[in-house]
Amino acid sequence: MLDRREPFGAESTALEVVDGIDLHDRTAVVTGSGSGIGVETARALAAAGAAVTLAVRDMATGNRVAADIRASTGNDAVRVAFIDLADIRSVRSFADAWSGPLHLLVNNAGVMDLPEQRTPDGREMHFAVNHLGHFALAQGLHPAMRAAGGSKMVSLSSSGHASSGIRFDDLFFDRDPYDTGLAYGQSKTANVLFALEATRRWKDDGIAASAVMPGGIWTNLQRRWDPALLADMKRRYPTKTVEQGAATSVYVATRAELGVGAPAYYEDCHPANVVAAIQGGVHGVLPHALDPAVADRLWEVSEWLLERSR
Amino acid sequence: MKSNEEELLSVPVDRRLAGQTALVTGSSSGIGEAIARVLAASGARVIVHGRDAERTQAVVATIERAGGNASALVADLGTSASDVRRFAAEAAALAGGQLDILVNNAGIYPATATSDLGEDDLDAVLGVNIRAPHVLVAALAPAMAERGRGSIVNIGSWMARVGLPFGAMYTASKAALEQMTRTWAAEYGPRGVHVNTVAPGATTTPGNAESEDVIAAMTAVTVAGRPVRPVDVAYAVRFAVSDEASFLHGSIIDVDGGIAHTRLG
Repeated sequence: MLDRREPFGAESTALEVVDGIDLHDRTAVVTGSGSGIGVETARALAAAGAAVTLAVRDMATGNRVAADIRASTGNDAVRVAFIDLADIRSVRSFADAWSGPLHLLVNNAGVMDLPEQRTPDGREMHFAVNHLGHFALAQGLHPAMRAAGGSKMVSLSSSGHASSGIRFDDLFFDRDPYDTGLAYGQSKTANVLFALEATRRWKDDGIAASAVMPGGIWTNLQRRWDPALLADMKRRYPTKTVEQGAATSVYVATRAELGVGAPAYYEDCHPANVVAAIQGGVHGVLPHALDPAVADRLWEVSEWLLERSR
Repeated sequence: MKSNEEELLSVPVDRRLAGQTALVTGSSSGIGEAIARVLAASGARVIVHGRDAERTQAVVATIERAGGNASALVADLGTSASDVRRFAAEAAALAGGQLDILVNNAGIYPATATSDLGEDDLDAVLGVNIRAPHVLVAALAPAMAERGRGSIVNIGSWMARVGLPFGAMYTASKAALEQMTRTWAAEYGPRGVHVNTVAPGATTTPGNAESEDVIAAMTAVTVAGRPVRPVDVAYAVRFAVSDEASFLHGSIIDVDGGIAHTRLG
């Protein structure tokens, strides 16, 4: 049930959410933190005192953002490291280079609305970047998260998960015609299922995860959209600033009670309702993204795919 | 006699439906809520469906407070057949792939004069009261038949079998549902799926609170002398989905205080 005393909601910003939270001696990794809500997620965690690593593909942009965050928060423990989530070797390099415990992993990076593209391993790009790259990253950082003795992982999902379940018999559109909406939806369903299953499998390691729907935020993610469609969407759906969009990630990372049986999908800084169809364009989570049997199977398939990336 | 809520709060807990998952449409209030709570009291895991997220969650919370197991699923069943099909798939996912019990309870009941029924209400009655149960049974009964086990209860109405000077479309929709019950009993029954109707008499629910005086007058002259309580309907549904009802196929159980079959004087 929604706690009416809870002060945070759709309009809260990431900095409001961390007000009063102390993350000194905590470490955090935020992927895709060179732009959009990733920047504001990293900024809020840094503002609360965490040592934040920006895991980015574009180092020049990452360095500029890191300098800006250091300046705005006064926290010098902000560093930048390269990662290309489409390339499992790059993900492994990132994880191998990590030392010390990791308290917060925010799987924020994402791609959307791509024309048909494949990774060097031949995998469909939405699934590869949004899910498999983060799955590999979390696996690589698992020892560091376990070492933290209480670690949280945040998976950025989206109401787009409604458009598709996991297409186990045709994960990469080798059989059916490519559909960018289905590809994105499948990857966003995978983000929720991964959080659910990581919480179950890593319970004894003190690791818990949840997915979040940041809200409708207009960022680089929609850079390929038809301008007319974008304008129409902005008119029809509730939209948020990037500072508001980062709030739910930061809420889950710092305030939510996560664990087996706890909500696995948050929106507007509270657990989402379970719905059979998305409400009002953005609200609610569908049961196909919360199915434990599917979550278990996705994990097995993802491990199998990673083994084949060696 | 205890009030509906007092009775629901004192339902003895048992295990007769343990291990089964039930979907009760329209269970965020009234008769559906009572059915959800009674099935949960007998050990079923219940998927509580409603259009309003807060009311639906509130029923889940009530069931959990009583020690039962429930999940919420928010949806509007009146929009289109394809939306209802998606709802069925999501409900099955929420049930972990296996639904044992389906209660088609969601309904709307505009009891107007025939010429006063608006087009939107007319479409809504057809959509929610007839199309949705049909699509849900089409989507969910085959899996039950494949497993050789399942129970479906359709909530009918005493008004489906008597002419009243209002509510032609509503009462016809309930007559349609009662007939679909008989068809489905013949269609799926031989493969272990029990399909029956529970037909309430005039029942007081939050949905008809503004007609309280009419219902009181209507039921004053019945054997019971008072309106049916939602929990009374729920007890009959629980029987119809239990192992004790193994010879019940295509039946109508009237839980109506005598309104359909008796006259006093």
